[in-house]
Amino acid sequence: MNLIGSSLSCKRDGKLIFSDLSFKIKSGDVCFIKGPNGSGKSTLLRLLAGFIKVWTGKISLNNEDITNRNDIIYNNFFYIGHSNSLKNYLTVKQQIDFWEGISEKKYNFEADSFNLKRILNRRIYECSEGQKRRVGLSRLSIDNKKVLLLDEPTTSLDIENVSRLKNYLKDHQKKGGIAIVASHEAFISSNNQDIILTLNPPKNRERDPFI
Amino acid sequence: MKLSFHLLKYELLFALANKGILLSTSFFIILILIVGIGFGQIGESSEKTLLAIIWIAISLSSLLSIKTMFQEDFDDGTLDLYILSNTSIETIIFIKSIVHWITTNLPIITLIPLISFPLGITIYHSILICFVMLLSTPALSFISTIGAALTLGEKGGNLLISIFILPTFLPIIIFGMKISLLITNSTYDIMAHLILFALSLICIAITPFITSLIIKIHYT
Repeated sequence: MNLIGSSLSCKRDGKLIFSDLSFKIKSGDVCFIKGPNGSGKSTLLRLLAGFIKVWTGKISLNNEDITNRNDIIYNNFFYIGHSNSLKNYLTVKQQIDFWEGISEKKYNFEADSFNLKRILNRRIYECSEGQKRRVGLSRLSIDNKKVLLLDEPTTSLDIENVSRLKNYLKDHQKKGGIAIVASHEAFISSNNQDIILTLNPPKNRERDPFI
Repeated sequence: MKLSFHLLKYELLFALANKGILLSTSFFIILILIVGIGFGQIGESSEKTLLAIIWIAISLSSLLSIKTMFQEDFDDGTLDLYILSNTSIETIIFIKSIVHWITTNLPIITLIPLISFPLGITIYHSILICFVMLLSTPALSFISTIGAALTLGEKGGNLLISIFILPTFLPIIIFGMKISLLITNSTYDIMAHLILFALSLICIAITPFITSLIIKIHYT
């Protein structure tokens, strides 16, 4: 499996967010997107998830052009954004049940990759930010897709849970999946095999007068 | 099918937790009371004006909690999840509209016999009017999803929704009002019933597609 982006650029509200971005990711790779605030990390992930249209350039998965082909993207890509997609008044157990029903798959409580057993009966609004993030990330192990798109997954996680996430990503790597992670912190960078994609904001990011 | 029931169950849970049901029913009761008392001062509160008040009140209160329909899911990221899931957005919109109808219009309709009795409409007539409303109000819920989708991400879009959507309620209100008047005169016009029902069915069939188109455009 390979995911190739060639000379991608993206515009939002007439502003150029990034341009001429190319990358090549193959099975078992973890790709980190780095860059200062506002350089378009989240936008790139949302673009790959099919929420934002590609302005110019091409994305291909297994040599098949998937630019703006949302049907293929939805079957292969898994996106977790800034927000954890949680409903405050549900318990953690209900929240997981809700996701299980949508993706028609089950959360593996025996492996319990994100250590949720102890907080199952807690309501989401009673959880700390870190616990909310863990519940949000548990969607990963419910719906196992080949390409993971994670936006700042380590936000408000403690060291122990960051290492849990690391282990999860390593497992995913071994299974031949791809993970694309936007992160300020280099949390797997000790491993030199990771691809690092650096985004720089374009110098003249001016509003296009024709849009 | 199993997935639809799962979504229906959770959407109902979300809607009940938002307490929109209390908001719309209490708004309906207060509106009826205030307008009823206002007309009472003139001394001309006939059955006709009371029926008009009921129809206006039901269309206003069905718009009250519509803003949260997609906005909340949009804010907490659940809408992203729905879009990336195997279900079509149309199904989700259909389920959301049904849930909106169950939690806002249905409680109001059940209140109508209670409210209209002191206002001078017989129980028999008010039950017939309830039946007409059961046929027509799903259209109100389905049409208002368009407004909710159009104002997605807008702050204070509630007023905008009313401006967009209230005019589109007119056909339903005109026919609903006409039938209600006929009922209180103890005459029946089957054609008016059929047209009202057809309007409702057309809205149910078409609006999920329009709304999903708007949401897709909003996203891309």
